[in-house]
Amino acid sequence: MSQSVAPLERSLSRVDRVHPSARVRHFDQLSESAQEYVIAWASDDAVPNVLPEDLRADDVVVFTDYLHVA
Amino acid sequence: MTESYVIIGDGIAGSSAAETLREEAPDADITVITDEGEALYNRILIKEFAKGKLPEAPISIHDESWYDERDVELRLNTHVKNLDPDAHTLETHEEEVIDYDKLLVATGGTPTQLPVDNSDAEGIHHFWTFQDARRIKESAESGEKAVIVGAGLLGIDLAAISGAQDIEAKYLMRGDAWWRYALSVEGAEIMHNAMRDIGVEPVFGSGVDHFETDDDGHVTAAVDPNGDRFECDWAGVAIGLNFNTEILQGTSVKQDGGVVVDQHMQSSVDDIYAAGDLTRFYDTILGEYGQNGSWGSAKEQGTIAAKNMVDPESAEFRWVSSYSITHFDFPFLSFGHPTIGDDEVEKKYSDTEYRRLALKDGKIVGGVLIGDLAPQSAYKRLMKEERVVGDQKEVLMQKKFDPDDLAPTQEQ
Repeated sequence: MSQSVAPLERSLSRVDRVHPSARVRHFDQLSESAQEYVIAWASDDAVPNVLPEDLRADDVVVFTDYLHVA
Repeated sequence: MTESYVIIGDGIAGSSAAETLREEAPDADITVITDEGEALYNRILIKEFAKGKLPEAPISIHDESWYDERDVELRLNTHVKNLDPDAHTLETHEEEVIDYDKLLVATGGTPTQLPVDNSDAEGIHHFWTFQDARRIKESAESGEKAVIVGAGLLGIDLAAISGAQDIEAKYLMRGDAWWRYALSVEGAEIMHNAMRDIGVEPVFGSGVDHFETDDDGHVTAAVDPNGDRFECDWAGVAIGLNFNTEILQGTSVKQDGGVVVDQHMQSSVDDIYAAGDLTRFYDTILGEYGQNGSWGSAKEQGTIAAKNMVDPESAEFRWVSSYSITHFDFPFLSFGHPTIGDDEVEKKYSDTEYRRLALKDGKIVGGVLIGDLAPQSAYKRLMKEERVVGDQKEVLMQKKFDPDDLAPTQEQ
């Protein structure tokens, strides 16, 4: 499966509402690489351009905010 | 002859086992039995539903078609009342006898009730199932005051639900700090302040002596051992789990504060395995038996058990668990076994940033990170490698921790 390529500034964004059809996962359910990705994004650190394999477009990740994967 | 695998429990441990069994044994008969009325749902996210932030639909993980597609027989609302390990059979509440070649017990637990008067009153909630979350949400949306009991990882979820639902809540704790077995008072104070910020007031040296009720049997107040009275429209209690091991009574499956299994998830009785919250497993990293109730650990245990049910002793459970709290402006994460060890090191970096590592024989066995979770992967790796680092505490506590800064391990 090919990996998505997501520029840093568009990879994740905070959202207030979640569509009922969204795939929603808590931070604890992510792979280690996806957790590192979220932590880096939340810390404004450099984020890899390649989205981790277990994150896909329109996913929502529950962290300290709800984060939508662009 | 076709192998027959039966799984009791459709939480993440049972479900991951079913998925793995189908991959490893394409022709086997696989049956999943659960006394719940719904298939696997996302237990981690039910707190978000109860907070009123997440709709119900995304909580569901598997619908019944998931089982059909994998040719797994799912039996909802089915209670197993008897198990005969010698005959390799179990009996359901409808007195149906089901044969198995290999059995996985993944029945989890049931919240412990407070041993005080009126603890079963209307409006007193425990928080474990989706149904619990629905009831808590209903109470939170109609009430104004709540009492929370249980100063641990589940209790703080109830506190966060109260905060999100604009409930004025008192969080009654017996000791002087939240999760005092894993955090110092200094570290816990960061969490206390976060609770206060959302309208939840920690009350220390407290607890519950009894609950008061109205004429309809609905809770109206909690009274603590000091005689202080806390009015409430509902109460949330999270003081622990009783493991659902009734079906093992009368069998010789060894239990010791949980179902004892080896690193292959094999119990003391042939062809019976266990996975998930209810296990007391041999932790190959610690070199002793341990317990863990995290989602990731349960999922991995289910997978490992399934592999060994198909091919005995082919896979070993070797896992550093973690559990995060994401209710506040800053994240919190615990990993491994932060409540054990013979040594520790901690550091507070700011009002919202703190770390503590638990060490045993110089090795990291667990820890807590508040604020900055970036070092978690490195700490977990050191733990898994069983590397002796207890003599390098300053390096471990560097704000930007880099494992390359650690002195090389000395050859013994």
